[in-house]
Amino acid sequence: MEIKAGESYGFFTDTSVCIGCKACEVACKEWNQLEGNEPAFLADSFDNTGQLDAQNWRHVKFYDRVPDRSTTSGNGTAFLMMSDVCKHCQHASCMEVCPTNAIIRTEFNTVFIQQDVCNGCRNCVAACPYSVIAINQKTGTAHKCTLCYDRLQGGLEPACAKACPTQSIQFGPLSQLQQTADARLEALHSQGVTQAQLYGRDDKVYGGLNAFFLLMDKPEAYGLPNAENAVLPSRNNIGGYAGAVITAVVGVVAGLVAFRRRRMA
Amino acid sequence: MFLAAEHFVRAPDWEWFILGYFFLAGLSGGAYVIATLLRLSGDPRDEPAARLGFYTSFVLIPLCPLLLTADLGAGWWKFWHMLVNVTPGNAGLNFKYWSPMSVGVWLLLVFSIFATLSALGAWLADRRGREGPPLLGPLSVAFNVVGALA
Repeated sequence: MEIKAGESYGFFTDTSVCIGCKACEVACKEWNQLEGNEPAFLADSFDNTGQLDAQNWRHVKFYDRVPDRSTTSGNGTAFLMMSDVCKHCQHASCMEVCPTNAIIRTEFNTVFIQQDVCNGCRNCVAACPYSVIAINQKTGTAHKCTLCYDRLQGGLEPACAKACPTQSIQFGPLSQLQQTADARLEALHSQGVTQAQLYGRDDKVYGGLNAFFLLMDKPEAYGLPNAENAVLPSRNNIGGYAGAVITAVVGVVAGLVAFRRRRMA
Repeated sequence: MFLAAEHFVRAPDWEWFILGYFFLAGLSGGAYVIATLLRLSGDPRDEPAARLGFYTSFVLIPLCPLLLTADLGAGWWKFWHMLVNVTPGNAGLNFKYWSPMSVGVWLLLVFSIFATLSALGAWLADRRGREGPPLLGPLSVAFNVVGALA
């Protein structure tokens, strides 16, 4: 596959075929030279990564839904496994708030944090609705998945997609991935897997996600905001500023009243 | 049971510097607003108190950017990245009216200039022993807005 500047690229992560092997996490750390956090036993299903952060740019989430008694086969949903990653949103919350313009959209239509521009204000950390971004303790700057910007520039596909043994993670031009996803969804539906659904395929979530997913349950089941809840941080601006203005007006009026009363006395 | 999706899913871990900033900026802005009100509505006997307010504002406001800068993760010398875009090939000033942090940075700069000028005016007036400088009267109305937001 030839990777051209000016075209949109992304990931299609098909959770229905994810086996939770975490090869994506390892490949990502190898290529991007991430040291990883201190290993810890989290006692949370098969998850020992915990969360996406400065050291983990891919994270296989495990949602353990094995019933207490074996009743029916799990239909592929007894465990929900999802290799989570930066979604490279079309309307990116992190990009919206970044005061230094360190967060840019690249020639591959991905969201990228320029490390030399970022000054570590951490506004994007709070803004990201997927808690993807975190501060690298060594550099003090915000880190996240770059969609292997350096590899794309060299004509290579991202490390995680390359390493994924089940093609749960697919990389390619967005239009092509969307076709693949539609076909896969149709196939699953025709097999009676009616709970399968696409997340971020259309523009209902943050204007569309360059890294979108096929889920085996509602987005909420994976801790993802649904279409109604996917709103940008500026949603708070009007309320916040209105509060400030009202406070200011009340303060000024109170001051004027106080001064006036004193003059009367 | 699944957790509902939330918006603020990760705390930015802003340190106590930021608390201090909000407190001092509030004090500074408040002092400025009260001083302005004293000038606008009070009688000439209030003028010394108004000047005191401008002095207070002037003394406190430089601490604010210092605190904000101290909280930056990537080093204090990168504070000016807030104001100037250093992206190669995309030079210019950074201002995003839709991003409260970007707005705050510029407001702080503008308010600092006002606070400095007002304190300077008060100091000059003090030296000359004048009653009230009418020169700053109209200006101080504009201060109100800035001060209230800071």
